[in-house]
Amino acid sequence: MTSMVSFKNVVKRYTRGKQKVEVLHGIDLEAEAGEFLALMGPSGSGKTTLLNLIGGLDRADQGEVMVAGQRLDRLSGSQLAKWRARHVGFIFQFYNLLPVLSAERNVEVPLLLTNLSRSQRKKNVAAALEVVGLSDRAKHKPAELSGGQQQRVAIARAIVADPTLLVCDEPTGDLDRETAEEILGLLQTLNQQHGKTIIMVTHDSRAADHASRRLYVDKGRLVTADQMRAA
Amino acid sequence: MNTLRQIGALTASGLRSIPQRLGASLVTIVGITTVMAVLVSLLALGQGVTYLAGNGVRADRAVVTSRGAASALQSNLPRNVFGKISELPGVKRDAQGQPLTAGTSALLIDAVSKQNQRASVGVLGTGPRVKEVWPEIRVTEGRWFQPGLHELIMCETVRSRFKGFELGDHIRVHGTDWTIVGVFAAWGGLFDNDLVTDTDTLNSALSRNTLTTIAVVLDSPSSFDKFKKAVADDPTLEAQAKTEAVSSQEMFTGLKGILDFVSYFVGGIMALGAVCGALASLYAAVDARRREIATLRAIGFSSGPVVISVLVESMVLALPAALLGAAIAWYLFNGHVVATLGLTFPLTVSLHSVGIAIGWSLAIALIGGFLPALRAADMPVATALRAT
Repeated sequence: MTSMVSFKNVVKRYTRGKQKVEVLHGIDLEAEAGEFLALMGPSGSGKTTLLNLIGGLDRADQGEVMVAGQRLDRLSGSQLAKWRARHVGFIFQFYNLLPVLSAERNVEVPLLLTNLSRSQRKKNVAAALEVVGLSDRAKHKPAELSGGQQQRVAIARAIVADPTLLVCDEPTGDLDRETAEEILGLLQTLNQQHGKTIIMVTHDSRAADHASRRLYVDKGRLVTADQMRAA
Repeated sequence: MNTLRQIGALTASGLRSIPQRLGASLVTIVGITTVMAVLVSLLALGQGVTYLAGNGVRADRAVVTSRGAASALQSNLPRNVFGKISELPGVKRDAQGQPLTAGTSALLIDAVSKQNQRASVGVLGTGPRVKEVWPEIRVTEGRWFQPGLHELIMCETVRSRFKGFELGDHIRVHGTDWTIVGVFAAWGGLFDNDLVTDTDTLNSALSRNTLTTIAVVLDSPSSFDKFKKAVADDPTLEAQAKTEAVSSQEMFTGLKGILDFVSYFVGGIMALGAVCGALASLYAAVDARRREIATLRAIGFSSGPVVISVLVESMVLALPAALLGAAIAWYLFNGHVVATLGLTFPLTVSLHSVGIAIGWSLAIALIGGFLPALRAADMPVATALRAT
């Protein structure tokens, strides 16, 4: 198996007022390509910070961050933006769609960063909407869609540029159980049938059941399930 | 291409979301509209003076003033140079070989407008060739003045704007009674605010033995250089020649400078306020779109297009505001006649003023949009994504 994520002794600190607060303390993490990894832990444990480092949205203060074969800690801001555009699809808890754009235009957004022609972009958008089962809602704006449908549009947006890695931050946190199951099933399909590596932050143990592996974060460290239960 | 697409997508998204934050956007629009309405209205004064100075001038007429005089208003020529200048090359002659020249003498007299405002009216002495030198003067009522008699003709605008100027009325000029014997039609030229009479008669009444200027009709516009050189080459004249257009502009340079200074000074202070309005509005816009911008940056949009899109949005708000401000100024003031400082001129909202308004508005938009644009580009993506 190929390594998708490799963290060595990664430290992240935030500045709060005049104080530096360390939120991740020397994280070592390995994830293989094709894995569906669930990151779990209580609020404030540092799991979203860890996810942001994996997705290249934030920078480590110390340690080695290798994702999709690239040392992210060595990239400049603009290089990191280009890297994200090529390698990562993001799925957020509140979908983060552009309210003024239709579903298909939202899905098209990442393709604006490529050199694809308009017709090719249109073809890719249609294919992505087909994968998430929303071809018939292409012209609708986010406000005209249910929460589950909006999250499907967000997933289509995340996969349309064919990234290797999907980074999901509580993707079902704003959905009812039934819809959440549909979304998780879709993520599982993307992982198993389309070979996407998925790293998902979740509070929900049932959501984590869809992943192939769970990791627990507690007080800025990766811990085992037993340590987590003991805490 | 890629960057242009990013700018296009970000800008389109920003512009389409304006209705959702209409209040803040209206602050920018109303602020800039107000500033531009005031600026263009004030500039209309200066433009009106420019219009007055440039209107009715002819390329085949020249004006001779005393050497060193900054304008005709400061000129004072000895009476005896008139004959010499009339004989210089380039001066047009009539069928009898007589030169078409006119020595002028000018003064201002007090008048009261029909709105009871104190003002001034010009009294201009012209020579016996007045009809040939200024064929634009057309007497429409009464008759021409008779040289040697204290008679005047007045422009119809004088009658319409000031009290006590009717055909047949007597007016006092330096202690002497003069009779208005005719009315001539306005032609948009310098005489539009004047009473006209014979130079020698006027000078005699004023005990004056000098001329203010000498007006010359040239063979053709191309004869001006020859005539100018001839005036300059004769040291006994101590005079200088200018085209009528230049002479006319020079008379108003000082006034136009003051009017323009006031316009830009007041406009500049108001523009500072508009910049603050644009700043507040665009900060609000950036805050409202915080998560949206962060999402796009997470997806891979870079900071440069984010900055440019905020600036473009700012300019898109400013452009119609500039045009609206200019339109308000045009509707309220364009063509309205102002009578002040001895001058009567129409307020003029010109394309030049509209261009200035657009330039100022875009500058306000760029200055007001710059800091919010930087904030949008500098927001930590991870933090902004958590914004609700």
